[in-house]
Amino acid sequence: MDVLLAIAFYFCAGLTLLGALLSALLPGGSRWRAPALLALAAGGSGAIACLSAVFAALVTLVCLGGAAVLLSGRSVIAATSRERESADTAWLAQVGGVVAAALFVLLAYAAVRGDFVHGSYPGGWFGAAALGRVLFARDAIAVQAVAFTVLIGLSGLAGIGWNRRP
Amino acid sequence: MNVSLVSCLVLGSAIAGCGVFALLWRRPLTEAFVGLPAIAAGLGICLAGASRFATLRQDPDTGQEMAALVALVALAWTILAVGWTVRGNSR
Repeated sequence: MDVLLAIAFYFCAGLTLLGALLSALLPGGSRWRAPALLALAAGGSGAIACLSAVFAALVTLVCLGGAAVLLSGRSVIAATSRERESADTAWLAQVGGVVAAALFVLLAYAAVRGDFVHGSYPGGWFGAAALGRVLFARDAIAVQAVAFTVLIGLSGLAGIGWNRRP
Repeated sequence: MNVSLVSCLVLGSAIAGCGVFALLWRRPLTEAFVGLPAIAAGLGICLAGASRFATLRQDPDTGQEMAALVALVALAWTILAVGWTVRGNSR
């Protein structure tokens, strides 16, 4: 991997990390929440694209961008602000923070100290044909399960929108 | 400056850790769902890095496939969570 691609990878990874931190720490009603989630989507897909997986990066950009738009919607923000009035900051939340930090330390230790296979990547950037063969031929059941989950969610959203119309 | 599997795994773990932090720390629960995209992005970077640096010649595309599927699962769970939030609020 050449130097320019490495710089692009680290820039995108830093953008993703910044977006993840901001989206985790900013309050729900903040106007910087949507840009943080979009930066997370763009940075994550850019980092994956730098690793010679452009098709997976495009899928990631569409999915995480859609998730950012959904999570920044007006109805979600209104619902969270109403729930926040009745929520208490329990000790469970602080335990959760410690658990997340411990998880990161454990994963980083495993990544640094672990012994991995050194593979030889055969080359290629986009890989749509190879991924299509893998997705729709070898692992078609997994794709059907994920598509069914998306369908259930979209049906639920459509039903809620239908019931809420004036 | 170089990119290796270790740097991919450490950065992906940090991003996924931010997502787990948001999922466990944020209250109310509906605000915690902002952690889902971060977890998916971190896992995607780890899987794409494994596909790029530690794959076998016989099966070079499984990591990329898993990265795409993880992003799709994150979108599906986000749609379900948003639907649950809006439905619970409209009652």
